[in-house]
Amino acid sequence: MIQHEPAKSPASPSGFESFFRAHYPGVVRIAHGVVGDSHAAQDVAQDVFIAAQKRFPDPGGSGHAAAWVKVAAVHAGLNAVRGSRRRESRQLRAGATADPAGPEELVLARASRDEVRDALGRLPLRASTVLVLRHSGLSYAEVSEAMGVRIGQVGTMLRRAEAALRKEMERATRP
Amino acid sequence: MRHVPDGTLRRLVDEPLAVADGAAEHVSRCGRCRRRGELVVRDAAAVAALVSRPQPVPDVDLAWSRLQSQPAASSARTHALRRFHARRSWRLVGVPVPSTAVLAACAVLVAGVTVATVLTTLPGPARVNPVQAVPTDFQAIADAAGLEGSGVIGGFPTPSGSLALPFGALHWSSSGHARSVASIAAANAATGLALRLPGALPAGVGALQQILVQPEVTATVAFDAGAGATLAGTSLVVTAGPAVLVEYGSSLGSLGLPSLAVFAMAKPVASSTSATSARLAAFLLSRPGLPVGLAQEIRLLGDLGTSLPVPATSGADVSQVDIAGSPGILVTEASGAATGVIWEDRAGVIHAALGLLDQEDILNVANQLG
Repeated sequence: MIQHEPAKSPASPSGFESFFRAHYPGVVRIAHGVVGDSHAAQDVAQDVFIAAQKRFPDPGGSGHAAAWVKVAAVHAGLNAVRGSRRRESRQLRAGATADPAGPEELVLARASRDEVRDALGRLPLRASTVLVLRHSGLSYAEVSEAMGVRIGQVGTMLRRAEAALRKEMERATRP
Repeated sequence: MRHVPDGTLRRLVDEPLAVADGAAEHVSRCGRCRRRGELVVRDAAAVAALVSRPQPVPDVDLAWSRLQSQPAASSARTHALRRFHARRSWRLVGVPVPSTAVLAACAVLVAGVTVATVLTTLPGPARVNPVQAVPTDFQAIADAAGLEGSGVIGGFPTPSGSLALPFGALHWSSSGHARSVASIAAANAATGLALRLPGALPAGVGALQQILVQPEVTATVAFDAGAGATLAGTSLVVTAGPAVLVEYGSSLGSLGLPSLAVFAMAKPVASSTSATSARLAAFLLSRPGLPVGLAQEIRLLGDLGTSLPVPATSGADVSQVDIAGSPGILVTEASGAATGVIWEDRAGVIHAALGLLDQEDILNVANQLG
């Protein structure tokens, strides 16, 4: 006798899947603001959601979980940048060749991207976090929620972070 | 009222409606706050320019399946391999971005060759150089040249025709429309080029879809008084093509999009009745409406007789490469989803390979063609 399994209704997304689908693009955007490379940003986002799954197995509409993944994207992105800079430094010490020389403007443009990432990494963590979150498109209210600060503080933190980054960049590019 | 705090000045830049009316009124009346506000705006704009980048459009379905397949513990090697495969498939599945990117890359190539033909006379580019351009630049170029709405940008609409420009008249003629041929041998016979197809195709690239042949086109710009006294009465003749475009489908057949395109064209030749290339370049680069940054970058390239400017979309990663002994450039679209290589071989044929591929794969294709 053949037994048929009862027909299953199409599965609706689990709680975590819904959360993932709602927040993954935003987390990739935030990570991209730090690492500047879409593949690396997606790797960072994967790491963030692997950690989030353990921490919030059923996040539902938890504002806390949503805030956590956004801030974690900045922190994990900064860690990834530091790791890649260490690798580049090792390769240079080992005598690996750098990029072939191109037009001067290109070299400057590339150096500038790296310098921005480095400068972000040198800022205090809260400063780089507020800066990346706001410039990846989050509103002041969303930044306030993600960082657990009053909305009135966001403008002040952002202003200081921008002034600090500008100074860091001026210092880094000064001949 | 007390002076407006820094945080409020900053929020006025981004979310002015969220700030009490009194603050904005105070800033408008108080010189000190206005000056502080200008500094805030300056820093905000400078930082935005530094950190803002084109936004990636990730494939959420693929990312979700990738997350689900993530084992609790895995060796570093299998972890690295999984990431590698996931990246490759993301390039092929993330259709909306790559398809746009490939179209943009083709537009970039056409625009680059157009710029080169107009600005380059003799003896032909020895170097290929990228210049930063965004899609609106192409519109601006069309507007500056008086080509807006003419259908000329992106290919001439008819085998022969003419068009009035603000600074003269453009006439073009060719032996016919682009047509499809059955084999690369037929394409070579029709164009006189000696092209071959890549013997080994990268994973993800499907069957050959079509081979198109574009006959040689000769375009003449006759400058009139609108071009100024030094150019009036002179003419510029540009001969481009013949050209061959080969398109491959995707191994994910249902996508119906080309995953690899290979383009080759005899180097365009331009000649002028009396104007020097420097004078022509100076005139074209001074056209009102031409993006200032783009014009400046082209000027920085120096002698356009030995340099082929190829516009690269803003945010794209560009590096110099060597294809079978010829210098070229490798352009990787900002999301990393599409890549292209453009070079000129020793016989003076301009080649391009564009695809939804990673850098290693597209260079492998290019080296088989070079």
